[in-house]
Amino acid sequence: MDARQDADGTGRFPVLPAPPIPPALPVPPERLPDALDVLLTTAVRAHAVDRAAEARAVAAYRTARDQGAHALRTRRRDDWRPPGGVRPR
Amino acid sequence: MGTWTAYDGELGAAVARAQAGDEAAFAVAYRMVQPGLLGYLRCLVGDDAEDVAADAWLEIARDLGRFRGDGAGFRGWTATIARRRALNRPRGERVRPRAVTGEVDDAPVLPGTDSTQDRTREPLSAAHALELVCRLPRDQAEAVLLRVVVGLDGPAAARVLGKRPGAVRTAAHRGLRRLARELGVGERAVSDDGTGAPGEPE
Repeated sequence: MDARQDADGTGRFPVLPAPPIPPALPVPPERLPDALDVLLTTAVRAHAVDRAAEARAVAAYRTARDQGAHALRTRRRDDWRPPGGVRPR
Repeated sequence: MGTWTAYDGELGAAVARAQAGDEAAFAVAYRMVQPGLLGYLRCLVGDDAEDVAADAWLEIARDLGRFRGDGAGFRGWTATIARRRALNRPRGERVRPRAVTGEVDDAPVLPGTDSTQDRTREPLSAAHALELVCRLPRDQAEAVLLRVVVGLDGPAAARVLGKRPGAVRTAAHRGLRRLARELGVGERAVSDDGTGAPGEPE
């Protein structure tokens, strides 16, 4: 189990980043408490990681991989490449 | 979205490795994406969020090889799968969405930027903020959640919802404006008569 935490070699456990301020917010940021998106992501992160759920997902991945499912073609709904190659942020 | 850029770089790399057969990389991608999915799903399906997410991950794991895109694209792709699972549940299982369950830690007050928050209102907690979002009309709640919790840009959020970007932008605008009003920020802030009553719902 612990080996997975070192999957990228750095030993870091991946966590959500500090919540960013989306640049395209329709409401000017000064009209919204600065804490709103911090609060939302805090609420999201408050739930403990479910190791059993993760293990089931990884098991499903392993099965699909070993059965060759990962060689299936890309459907239109699976194509999420950014248009033009540069993602506007 | 500077911090999302770094995050998505790491996520995109993990997804690519997972597609090449790296099981540990898939676990990394799972941990990075799952919290945002759960936060989104809780507003759609309440306590069924974990079950719906589990079903979504079975599909994500199976179809991983079909996916093409970067880290941000992966978040949009997984959100689309999760949403479809949520909406395709048998009709009898659909319940009024609730933001929070008992185990969410009611985080302490974060300092507000607007002093009106201190005068007449309860301290704002993380759970309360999510609850407010989830009580918005669903199109507004989804637009706000996909932008803020899942971290999608406008076009990606529109694609997840199957709507025009303009419609999603309008829904997000209305939702955020309503939240600002409820939180006492903006031109229709809560009056200072001590009642703490929120503004009229739209």
